[in-house]
Amino acid sequence: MIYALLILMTVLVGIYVVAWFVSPSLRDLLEKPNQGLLNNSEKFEQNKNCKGALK
Amino acid sequence: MTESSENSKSSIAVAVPRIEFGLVKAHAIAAMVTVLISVTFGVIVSLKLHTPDFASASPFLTWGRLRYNHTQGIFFGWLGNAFLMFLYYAVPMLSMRPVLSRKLGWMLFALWNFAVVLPGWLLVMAGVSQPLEWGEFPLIVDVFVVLAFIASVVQFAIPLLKTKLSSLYVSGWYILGGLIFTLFAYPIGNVIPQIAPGAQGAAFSGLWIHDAIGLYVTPLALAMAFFVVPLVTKKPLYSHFLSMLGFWLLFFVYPLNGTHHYVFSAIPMDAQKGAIVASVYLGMDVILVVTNLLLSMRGCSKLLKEDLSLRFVWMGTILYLIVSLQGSMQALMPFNRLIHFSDWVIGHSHLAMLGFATFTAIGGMTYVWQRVPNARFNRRALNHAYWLLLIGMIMMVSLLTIAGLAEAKVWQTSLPWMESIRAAKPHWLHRTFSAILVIGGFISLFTSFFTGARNEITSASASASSQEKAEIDSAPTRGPKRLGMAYAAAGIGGIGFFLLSFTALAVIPGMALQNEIARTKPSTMLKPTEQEQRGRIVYAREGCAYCHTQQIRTVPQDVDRFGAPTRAWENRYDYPQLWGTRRIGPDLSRETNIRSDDWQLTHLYNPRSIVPDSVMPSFPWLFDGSPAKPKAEADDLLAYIKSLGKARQLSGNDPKQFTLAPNCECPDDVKKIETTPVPLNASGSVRTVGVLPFEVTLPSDAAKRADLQRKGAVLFAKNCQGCHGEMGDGQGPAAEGLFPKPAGLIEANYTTKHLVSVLMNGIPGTSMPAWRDLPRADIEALVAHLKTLPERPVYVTSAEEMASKEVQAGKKIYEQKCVSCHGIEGDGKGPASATLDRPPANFKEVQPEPDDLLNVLEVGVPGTSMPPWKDQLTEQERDYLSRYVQAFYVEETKK
Repeated sequence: MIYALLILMTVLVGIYVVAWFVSPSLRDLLEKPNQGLLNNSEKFEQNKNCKGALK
Repeated sequence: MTESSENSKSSIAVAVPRIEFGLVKAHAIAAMVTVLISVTFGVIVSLKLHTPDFASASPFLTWGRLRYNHTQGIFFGWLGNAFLMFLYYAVPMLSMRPVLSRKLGWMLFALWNFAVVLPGWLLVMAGVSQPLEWGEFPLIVDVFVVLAFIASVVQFAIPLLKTKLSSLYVSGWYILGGLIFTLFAYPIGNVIPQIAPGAQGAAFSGLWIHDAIGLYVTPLALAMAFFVVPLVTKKPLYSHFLSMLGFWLLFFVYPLNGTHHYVFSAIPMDAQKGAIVASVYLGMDVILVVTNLLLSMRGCSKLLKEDLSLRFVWMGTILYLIVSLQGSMQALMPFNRLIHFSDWVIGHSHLAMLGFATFTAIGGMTYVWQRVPNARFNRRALNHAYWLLLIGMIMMVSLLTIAGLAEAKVWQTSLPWMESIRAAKPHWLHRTFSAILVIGGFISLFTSFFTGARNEITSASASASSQEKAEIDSAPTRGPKRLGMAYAAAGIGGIGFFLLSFTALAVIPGMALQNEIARTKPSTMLKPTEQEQRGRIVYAREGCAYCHTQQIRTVPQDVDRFGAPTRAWENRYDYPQLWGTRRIGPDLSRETNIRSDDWQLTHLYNPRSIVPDSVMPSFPWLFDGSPAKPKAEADDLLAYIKSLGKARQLSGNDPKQFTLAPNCECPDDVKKIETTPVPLNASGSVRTVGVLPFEVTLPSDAAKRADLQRKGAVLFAKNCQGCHGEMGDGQGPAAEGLFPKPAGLIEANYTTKHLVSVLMNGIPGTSMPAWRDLPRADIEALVAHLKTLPERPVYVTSAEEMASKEVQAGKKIYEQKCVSCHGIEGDGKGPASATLDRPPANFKEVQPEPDDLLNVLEVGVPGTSMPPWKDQLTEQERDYLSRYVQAFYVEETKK
């Protein structure tokens, strides 16, 4: 059973990887949250009006 | 990657959510305080390994209880609070929503620290605990742990789940996964072993041992790493796709790893092998995660110097790679059989918790702390913390690894168990010094948070009262909606996968074990008595299972040393299981009939009185001031220890005990063990009356003999003087609790054959164990030394003396009074000898000193069948008898 689970997982991951390579729009969507964190952080930092001392 | 213009058009302005800085601060302080306490527990535990009498008078400070508190404190107190601190900052930023409720937050804080950590510690110290790795807090505390996890899910998962899943950053996924999966996993490891006995319970415990790290610590630490890296480097991750792939692989594979803690055990081989494959798979996943994180930090070497948060996370990431690959390697059968149960594994867990988790947590905490309004921050102190922790951790892990290898090397031989303690002891000592560096590192960390200049962020500017708006996505497009649905489906699939893994590794093996137990159990299996059950509770609360395993694996090194492998049915009345995961002391599965009651009680009262180099804690509070005066709990514990292996011994070595299928794909030596009868008890200490495996002839050359005697004196000090005393007079520190008393080796002459026989076979009915695990050269050296101890040379009775009236009168008395036990020839083989627990003295091989002999005739030998003859024989008759008895001795050294 455990081997069946591992094979199933490999297949699912394989589909995911192939889809990422063949679909630029999917790739864009999957990478979108990457910039989201930086944008959110920027908003927080602006909001705090912090001036340095952040090292 | 940048946002598409289409998406930016569909965004709306919302208020930047409030961050609960009060809770951030509270959890940070709680983390700092609890880590200092937890590490102090750890330092004392480490100290006690090489100085076991340190703080040993109080039950509250005994090794086992402090060991429980050390790991639970690190898990809940240190890392739990560190993660919660981080979540109060990260979740609002990831979801652009505040956490659910400030009130709930303070309730969670109170629950976590004052219903879990503090009462957990106090209860464990008071002796209320459960002997389950990473689940030592008692069941009553587990209830509050589960409540706390539910509160955490409500507090943090709801804002994250309100976010469009397609926009959720990977840290959010790790937080969701960590909190939700732990809520499922915690009761599995902490509650089910209380209702599933022995091997079945161990299958569930194994899952939690791994899930505690894999489903709680690792995801939340990785959430921190994936959060800090882009924010400090000011650039996106190398690939969010890879990070998500790593996330799903981790949650799919981690739950499948648990059984690798029980390789070569009674748990079905298929489950073991599945867990091994999953462990290798996990290693590949970690390579993926770490590669992504390191690529995200490429070109940032200058930043690593300047920004300590990033440096801590970077080091945590490197350590994550090392510890995970090490973990995968340890699961492999050829490696596992060598290092399992040794300190290597303790080094591994320190590398995970003190290395990967702690470094990453400090990176996340310090990043957040520097953004807490008006908080102090001392960069210099944090830099000191980094180096102290890093050097201390590397030293500690290296020393434990070396100690583990030293132990493993001894375990491969037939040397006595104590040799592995002696091999590890110097490394344990140095490890304590490394712990001092670690504690210094945590003090510096504490200092860095509460000294130094305050930052210029004000509470007002950082609060939700700010009306400043931030823009976030609002209108979902078709693509993200579908992706969100795909993620949701994957999430449901992940939970399904977790449940399947739980089924594959615990439920199905549990059912298989049940069938196996039904097939292999003896027709009548003894149930533990009430006294044994009470003793089991004492054994569990004192942490005995954390040094003594109760599982003999199907590997030659275990079988040759301890006996037949442990079968599943042997532990079927164990709630919870006490298999153990580490061996400082020997396995106790076959302890029944190995030692006398007196030996066990004296050993519990003061182990070093009987085994000078022992590192076992003493348990004086179980006695009324003397090993001869055990309290009820000591008697209970003794009854439990004596019961270990009794059922198996009574069942015999039935061929149906062989459990492996004939076509099992196992290593050849494992197959051989499973198909060939092996001794039930292979302990070198089992007392038997056996044939001597070899004869000893001491060298006639004086110099060689002196060398041998010197070596023997060292061996005597290590192994014998606890009972027989430094001078061999039978007045060692352990003698107080032993009946009959240890032999006074200066008071009699012994033949070489007798000495070898006693060393190889022990003396049944006494506390003298067999020393069959000593190499032949050591036996020879001990014999050479023992021959030097008698104060009086051998007395040879001449023919004239033998014919004298006095000796002949003694002979008559002997034939009337002594022959039934000691035999007509004085060889201890009289007709009554077979019925006696302790064999009568063989005067052909033992020649007591006249004074000692007269004393024995006067008062008898307490604890044996030898009665006092004071009232039945006159002083003169006793004198005649003693002269006759001495004449039996056959001096073989003249040969």
